[in-house]
Amino acid sequence: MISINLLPVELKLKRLSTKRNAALVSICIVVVFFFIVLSVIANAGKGTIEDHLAATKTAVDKNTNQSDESKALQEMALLINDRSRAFTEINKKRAIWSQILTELSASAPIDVQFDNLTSSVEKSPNFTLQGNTTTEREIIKFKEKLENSPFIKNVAFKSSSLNQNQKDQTETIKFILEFDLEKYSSNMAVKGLQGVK
Amino acid sequence: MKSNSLLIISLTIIIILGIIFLFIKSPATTILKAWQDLKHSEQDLKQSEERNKITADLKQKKDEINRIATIAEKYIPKDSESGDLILELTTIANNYNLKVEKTSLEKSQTTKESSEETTSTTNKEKSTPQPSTSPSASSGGVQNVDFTMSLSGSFTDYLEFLKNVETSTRLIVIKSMTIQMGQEEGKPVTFQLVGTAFYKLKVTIADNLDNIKVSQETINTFLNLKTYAQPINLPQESGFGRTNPFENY
Repeated sequence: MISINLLPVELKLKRLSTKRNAALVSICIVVVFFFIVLSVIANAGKGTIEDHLAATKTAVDKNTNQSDESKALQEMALLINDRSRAFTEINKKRAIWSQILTELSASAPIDVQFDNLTSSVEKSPNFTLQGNTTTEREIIKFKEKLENSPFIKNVAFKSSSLNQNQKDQTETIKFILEFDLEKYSSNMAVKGLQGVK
Repeated sequence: MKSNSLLIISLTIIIILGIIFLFIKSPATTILKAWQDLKHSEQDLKQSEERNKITADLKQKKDEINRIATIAEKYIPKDSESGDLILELTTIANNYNLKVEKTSLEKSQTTKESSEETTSTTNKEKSTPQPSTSPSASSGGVQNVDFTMSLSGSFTDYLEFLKNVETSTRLIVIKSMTIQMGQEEGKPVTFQLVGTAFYKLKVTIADNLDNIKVSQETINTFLNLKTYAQPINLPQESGFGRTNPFENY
């Protein structure tokens, strides 16, 4: 079936325009309604979040208000950790002199006597050792022994001179050795020297 | 006519969107802020719960923590306590039959004025020097008290003195020393040593969860301070090794 619109053109256009406007108004109403619903939901959500926030803040305040005993314990813990860090830092550069001197004594051949020992961790060479002995062989033995020590490095022979004792007419060789301190960890000092070098 | 209609539609849409924007903006901002606050508070709550848990652990180890804190505070005190330092060093020296010839505390290395004050002491006539510290700040807020000591006695006693200084209740680092054999036979060996003790006015680490936990390792460090400088297992070899190398062979 064919339908023929016999209305005048102006009326037809007017009707089309009215329809289009009506559709637009409907869309706008829907959009506005959607946002109204959304804002209602959002307000409800806001209330929930604020309640939850208030409860959480109360819980935080409750947890933060600690007893004096707890505060004192925390301060002590902080002090312990603070001192531990400072000690660890200082200990990294610390030389255990008693062990170094024990090592030097243990490395000395029986016929070697120390006359003077100057040592400093701040300048190189760290050690200057003046001593005397009976033969040059003893100096070499001593030097080799020091070179194998885990505490000592860069052992250098500086000088030697023959010296005659006026009292008993015996001859001794005076010598000077220079060497540096090997960097070592304090753990090594605690555990001993096994497997170090 | 058609263009008029389109203009009206466009204006209507813009006005509606404007109204919606104004209507939505304020609550949306409030909700977003509340949400962010909530997240922060939840984080704070979590942290405070964890802090309480750590504090409960500390309470369980209360006596041990007290003891360790006392050791730690004596090891690196809050004040220079230089008088106590000299007293401690002199007492150790006396315990090992070493004669204290001279003790001095040095002032700040940055000061160009007279930087030393010296007291002569003997075994029987000791006088504690006036506290004079070197507040030369080193890393982490640790400050130094530099001292110099001149001693005389035997090498073996000096070795024992050193062991005791290195394991003393206060952290002492020896920087340099000179050992001189007695010039004449029968004369004692003379020793001069330069060392540093430390102090720290304030706790400089942050008050956070990691720093209020006291690990067993830290506890052991303070309980085993004596372990440092204990005798080591030196290998023995025939023809080597002298108990006192400053003695005649």
